[in-house]
Amino acid sequence: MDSYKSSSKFGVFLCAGAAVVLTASAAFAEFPERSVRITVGFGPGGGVDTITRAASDAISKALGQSVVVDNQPGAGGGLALTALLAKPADGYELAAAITTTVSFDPHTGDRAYNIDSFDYIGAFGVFPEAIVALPSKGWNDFSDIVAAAKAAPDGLNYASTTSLDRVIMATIAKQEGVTIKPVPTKGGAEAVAQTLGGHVDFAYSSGTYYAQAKAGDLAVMAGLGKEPVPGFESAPTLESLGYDISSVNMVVYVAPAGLSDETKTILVDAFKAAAESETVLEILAGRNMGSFILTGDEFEAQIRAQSAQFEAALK
Amino acid sequence: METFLQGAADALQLSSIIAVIGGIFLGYVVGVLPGLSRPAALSVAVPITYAMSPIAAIAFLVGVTKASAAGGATGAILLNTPGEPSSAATTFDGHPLAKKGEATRALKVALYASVFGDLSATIVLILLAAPLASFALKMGPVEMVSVMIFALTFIAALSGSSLTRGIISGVLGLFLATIGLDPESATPRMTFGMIELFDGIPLIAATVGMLAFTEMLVQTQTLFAERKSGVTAARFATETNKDLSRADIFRVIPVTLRATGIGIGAGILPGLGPTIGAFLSYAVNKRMAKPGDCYGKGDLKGVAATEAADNAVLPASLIPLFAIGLPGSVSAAILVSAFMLHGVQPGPLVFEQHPRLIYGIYVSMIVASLVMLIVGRLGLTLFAKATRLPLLVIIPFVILFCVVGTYLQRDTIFPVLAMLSLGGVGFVMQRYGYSVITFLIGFVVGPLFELSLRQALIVTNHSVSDVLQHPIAMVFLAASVFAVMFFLKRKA
Repeated sequence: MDSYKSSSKFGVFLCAGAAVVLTASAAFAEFPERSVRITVGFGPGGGVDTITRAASDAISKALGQSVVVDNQPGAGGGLALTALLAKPADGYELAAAITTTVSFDPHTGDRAYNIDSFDYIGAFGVFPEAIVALPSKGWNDFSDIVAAAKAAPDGLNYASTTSLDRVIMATIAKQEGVTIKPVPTKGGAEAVAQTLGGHVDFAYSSGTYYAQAKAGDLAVMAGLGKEPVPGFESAPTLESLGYDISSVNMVVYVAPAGLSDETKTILVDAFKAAAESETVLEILAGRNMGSFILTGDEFEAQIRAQSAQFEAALK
Repeated sequence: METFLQGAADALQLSSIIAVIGGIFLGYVVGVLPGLSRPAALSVAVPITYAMSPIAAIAFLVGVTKASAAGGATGAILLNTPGEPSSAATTFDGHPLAKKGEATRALKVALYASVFGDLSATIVLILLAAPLASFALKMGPVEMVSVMIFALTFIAALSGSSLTRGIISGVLGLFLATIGLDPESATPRMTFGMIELFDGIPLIAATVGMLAFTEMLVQTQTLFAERKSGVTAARFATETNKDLSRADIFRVIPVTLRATGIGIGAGILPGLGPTIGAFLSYAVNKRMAKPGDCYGKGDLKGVAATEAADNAVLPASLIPLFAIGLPGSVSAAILVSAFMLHGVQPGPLVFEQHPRLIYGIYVSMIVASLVMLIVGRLGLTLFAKATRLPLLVIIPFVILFCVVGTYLQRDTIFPVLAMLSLGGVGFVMQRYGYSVITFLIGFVVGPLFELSLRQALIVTNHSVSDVLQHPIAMVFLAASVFAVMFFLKRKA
């Protein structure tokens, strides 16, 4: 009886020892060994937040660890990216923003981060950015807007929502020698309302216009991306109209620069798996953002090219 | 009719009703507690709805928003600290009433006026969404500028005893609102390189700091003064009368009707919001006071004027959302995401594509009003006892909620620091007779007014005479001129 007791004690001791050895080796072996946090740079309920929360399940499955989603809205995603700079580059801290938060905003000055501050993990979906106008204006596409701007003595105005659309429109106006004045608005909903009410000549909208355009209350004049706006394929893109400028705006996931190669590969693969999951594709389709996905090096190449393009346009 | 009945059946399912009740409870708690605000409540609530059915999710969020507006009056009446900025004007009459020993009567009027405003605006939303939304679209930048001039003409009269001091604090509020990115050029203004200031001083920090935290500082001071002198004055007179008489109800009805109308108007216009709606309604009703009314000294009419308007704003601000798919307020924008989460794209076609869901939401909105009445009525007896709580208990708890509420909004310490410093500023201002209310109105209206004015200048090519081509704007401008002339004549 006694010997049995002591052997069982010994067994417990062995097990405990083995457990210590196992955990110790795990610490050296595999990222991730605890939960990964994604800080969303926009408020809860918005597009970036919804997509991130939908993706977090699939990411967590691929990583084998839970994923915590936080919100830190402000400065168009810039606040979360600035906060990310102070966090360790160990793969446990990521941030979600949109492409232009990284590729455009730092060129306008006063940002603590730039294109080199991050490692690029993945990018989901493309905002269907477009230029829209009332059908009663009688314009077929954006070239008619330029013609109208040439004819009008004071030029035209349009509802603007970001400084990015102001730079794009200023580039076009300069190239064509016309006056196009931006009317600042608080966001897509206001820009669309101003257009529907006839208070401005046309509008830039990153996605709010879609339901109105589907109902025929607004006409798509041009898409801003490399590809035509899904569902409005007959409308041209700015590039197809001969302007050397485009905007491909996606939901982006970045980490502080300096991740180890292994960690980065694990994260990139997890985001790739999430991007192909049904939930994410469904949410992207519901927001008319297509199923375009970029991860890792491809993503980094694309966002760096865009950053260079915007830097040139701002000079 | 069949789709309507199907929708109604969806809304009356147990799960939807439970969602509404849950939303009302959460909203009421947030509304009653100073510091916890509606946007903070909604950001907590949205992730909860991810797992619900579309109708339950939207019913839940509608419950949260509606009840937080109704609950806001409780703190305003009992503690002089409004639970929501939109209930700030309720302190004018609500708190004096509580001091006179009429806390329960004030709470009752606040509740009934809230439910009346809310229910009426919901019915207007259901019956007249389409025509009102097309009217709202006609309100462009030029019209909005003139509406704001009109509203400010009335609200300016609330500046307190000294007009000069009222103007000084209003301008100070305007000045603070200019911090952040310039709306037109996106150039940072007075941010001192701090990225936290790019979006300006957080609204929550300003309202919570100046309304709740300032008041707690004032109360602390009173507490210390009493301890030193050893004389304790009773904070509240004993409650002798807790019931509303028939005469009280008849006195309050016309005010409530006017306030509901003003609230619906303010809700339809994009961006004006419940705070301005409530202040405007109070100012207008005070102007129309009958002999014997004592606005500002504890009149039930004053409570009804702000609460009915405050609660009418929310359903009315959903009109552009349901009719054309464009959110007119922060709460409406959060509902949009709830729609999209469940595969419904709000837009002009939503009624044709999902009639059953929309009818269901309408019915659940009415259910929410009724649940609010019951929950509010049950809570009222409990809340009224708060007057018996010692200040030593109230002050630390309110400050705790102020800190937690401001922290929740961005998950950073910055808004908390801003709240504490603005609370200090508010304390000094009050000490020297500068109204924090006019300060906040300047702060809230400032950015809206600036944006609309600059938009108006661009669309009219900087030609002021262009306003002659905007009949709606002309009506509001003419009304403002008449109002000013009338006010000056009465003073002379």
